[in-house]
Parts: sequence; structure tokens; C-alpha cells
Amino acid sequence: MSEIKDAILSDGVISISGECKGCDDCVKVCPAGAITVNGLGTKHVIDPSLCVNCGQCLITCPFARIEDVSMVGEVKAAMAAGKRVIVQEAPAVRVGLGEGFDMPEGSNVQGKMYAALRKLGFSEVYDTLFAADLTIMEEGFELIGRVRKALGVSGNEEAGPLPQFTSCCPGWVRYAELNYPELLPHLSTAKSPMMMQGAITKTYAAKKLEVPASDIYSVAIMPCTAKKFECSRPEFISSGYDDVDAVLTTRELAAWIKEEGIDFANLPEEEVDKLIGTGSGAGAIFGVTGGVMEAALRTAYAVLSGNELENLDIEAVRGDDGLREATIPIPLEDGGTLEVKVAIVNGTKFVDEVAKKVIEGNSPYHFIEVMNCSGGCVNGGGQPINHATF
Amino acid sequence: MTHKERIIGDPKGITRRQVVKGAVTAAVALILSSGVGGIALGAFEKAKKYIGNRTNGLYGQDAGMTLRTSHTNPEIIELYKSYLSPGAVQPATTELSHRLLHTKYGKEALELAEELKKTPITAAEIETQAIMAKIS
Repeated sequence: MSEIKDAILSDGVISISGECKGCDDCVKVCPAGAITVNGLGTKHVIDPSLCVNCGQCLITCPFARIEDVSMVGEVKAAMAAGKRVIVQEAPAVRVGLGEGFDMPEGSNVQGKMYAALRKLGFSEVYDTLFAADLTIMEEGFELIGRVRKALGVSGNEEAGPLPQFTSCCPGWVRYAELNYPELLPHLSTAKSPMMMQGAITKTYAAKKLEVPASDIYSVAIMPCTAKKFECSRPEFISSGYDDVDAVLTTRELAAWIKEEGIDFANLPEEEVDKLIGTGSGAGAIFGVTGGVMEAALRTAYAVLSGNELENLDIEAVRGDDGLREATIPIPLEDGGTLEVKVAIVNGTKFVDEVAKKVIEGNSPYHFIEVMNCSGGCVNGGGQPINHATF
Repeated sequence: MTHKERIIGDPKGITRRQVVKGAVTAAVALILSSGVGGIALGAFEKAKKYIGNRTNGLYGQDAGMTLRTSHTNPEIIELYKSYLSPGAVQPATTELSHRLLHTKYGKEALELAEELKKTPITAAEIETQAIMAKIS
């Protein structure tokens, strides 16, 4: 465990600099009530014991006076020390990174991103899309286990209670730990894609690449500041080492590419490295609200019915409302139908209503997706700041 | 209990949530009623637009792919068959997938951290291989 990770665990990822103008915009977007106000116009302070590290305040601040802890120096040091530095990138990074180079909003720069990462010195360029697919396998089968337990099917006694909440979003996980400890048994035990990719990198990939895990330094490029807190948590050492050594945001990657003088917009596109780099479209949509739910439903449908969905676009779970509900009928192999009831919470500030229902035992749902940031990871606190600052 | 243990294991014990929440609620009410914060309201419309564009970027990628479901990803199938559940695709069942792909929360996360320090990954690998060999 590095010193920087210890500091992140104690003090959090986000801080407000001494130059705060006291405008209160950060207070309005904070989902956790973590920003202390000492009176209008005075400097704000973030309480690290309440902060979920989501960085919504950082990307909103009109004066660019809010900062996140950087791990860029650690990554460069690992490269200089001759470590095998392996990288993964979250889905939302590829549709945000181009904005750092004045490309049109939402441009998908995946191929250029792979090329730029190789130029920066990363040895293997894998993709978190792969682990998003792995998450669906683990989390989807966990959900099926919980449903079978609720139906009284034997052999599922160890499964957790329904409904199952998603656990990919470290802002939401932290919010639940701080505010709803009674909901923790409902959180999927599946790790987030980032942490799964890290664990697989230092075990399976290390073996296949014939590199000792101790020589690998594993880096994740994320649209998210809360991922820095997540990678610092003491339990993420399942490979025998820190599963993810450092997290850089989309913003930090853009700044590093510029610093090296790489002409990003004109880079020829490259392919991802195979082994643990291939991802599906289901993995790609993890970056938007409702995407994890849609990806899980595609696989749950196939596993339970024995057939693939005819139309893979599940419009019922898409949209931008804060709280969305849908019922998805899945024909079962024995001839019955399972009406899967789902909810999508788009922004932690909308979770309280659903949480209350679950705690009171009145929730009709099987599966609930929660993303802390409005819109999902595409609007994460680590994405390029897309407004003028003063 | 060390500071780190409090952070992960017992965050409630060190929060001043009720006090702060009350203060924040009062302050937000004051700001909204005073009409301050026009910057954020204008920024909201702009944010809606870029969120939409980035969203379309990912839906577009998905729609344009031939591989669109997680369970058909050939590298995922290979990972299970050659490592996580040798010879088969069995998510969330073997010792190795529990060790590498699942976690715990709150106080239990700290216990998990201690447990992982004590047991080497090779133990989970050997157990998984032995059980899968028996099944096949």
C-alpha cells in the first residue's frame, strides 16, 4: 500500500483550495451533504467522512478551485523503474477524452486512445470493457442465485436477499456504507469492472504473459475520481498485490498526452491488445445510466430462456429520468415466465426513496442499478471540464 | 481501532452527518430563495447536452458491434475455461472467482483484507483445479 493510498483513505480524494469564492454551486451538486457551509460567501470545506469522492463539485465549480489527488507521478515513477506497466480504460473515457483536444462532444476516440497509451509507455493496453463483461457474468449469476433462493430452489441457501443492487459505482458503494449500512447485504458482492480487471491482470494475464505479478504495475484510466478511493481500499489485494496500483482520470490522461506533445487528433487508430482486452457492446454501455442493467438483462435473458433476445436494444431501461422502472418478461425453459422488475437510479440524490422501500420490505424489484453521477460515468467527476471557468 | 479501520469499517462513528445535513439544507434553501447561483442553472443545460452526446457515443459503439453480449465474448469464455473454472464456464461458483471477483462491504471489508493477507492466491488456484478435475 502506497503512501498516497493511505492519504486518500484518510483525507479523501477531493479538496477545495484556499481560493474558494464561496458561490455555493458545489453545495448544490453534492449528493452526500459533505460540503460544509459556514455562511454565504465564505470558503467551503469538504468533510472527508461524508464525501463519496465523486467529484461532481470539481467539474461544476465555475472558478476551477476544486482539486483531486493525482497519482500521475506514481505511474511515471513505475515506468522509470522498469515495471511492466499495464493499462485498462473505462467505457466512458473514450467518449470524453476527445473533448480535451477540442474534438466534437461525444466523439468516440477509442482507437486513438489505445495508440496514445502505447506512445506514453504502457506495455499492454487492455480495456475495462473486458471486465465489464466479466462483471455481468458474475453479477448476473449472483442475481439468478438470489432469485432462485427467493423461489425456494434448493442449493441457493448461501445467496443474498432480493433486491440486488449494482456495485460497480464506488460513489454509490461509499454512500451506502455511510448512510445505509442495513442495505449492504443487498449490494452485489461482484467487484467493479476496474477491480476485476486489476485482479485478472496480476493473476491470469501474468501467467499468460509469463511475467511475475510482482513486476506488474496496474493502471486504470477512469472518468471518475471515486475510483481513486476504490483502488486504495485495503481489501483489494486478492492477487496477493495491490490489484490496481493507480487510477488516472480522463482529464489527467489528456493533460499527459499534451505534455508529451502527441498530436492526438491526428493519431492513426490502433487495436486493443488481445487476451483480456476484447469487450462487447454490453460492456461499452456500462458508461451510461441504465447500461449495466441492459447488459445484465441481455445475459439473464439468454441464460434463463435458452435463447438470445431478438432485439438487444432494451429501450425500457434507457432515458435520463432520475428514477426509472421497468418490467421485463423472460420466458423460462420450463414454459413459465419470469417478470423481472428493475429500477434504475440516475444520481445518488434519487436513491433515498428506493432505499426506504427496500429497508421497509416494500420493494417490488429484483434488481436495482445505482449510478452516483447524473447520466452515469459519461458525466463522471474525472471527465474533461466542459464549461468556461473564471 | 486505527483511523483507516474507522474509515472503512465504522464510518458512522466519525460522521457529523445530522449536524452538517441540517446546516446544508438550511443554506441551500437560503441560496435558492435568494436567486444566487445563476451560473449553475445555465451550466445545467450545457451539461445535459454533453451528457447526451457522450451517451450517444457509447450507444453508437454498441449498435455498431457484432459482439453485443457479455456471455458470447470469446476471451471471457476462455478465461473461465482455462483459469476460473477449468474446463467449463461456471461464473460465481469456484473458489477462484470468489477470491478474485467478489468483495465485501463495511466492517466485513476489513475482515476480508486480513483474510486475504493470510491466504496465498495459490491456495484458491489449487482448490479450484482439484474440484473442477473431480467434476469432469
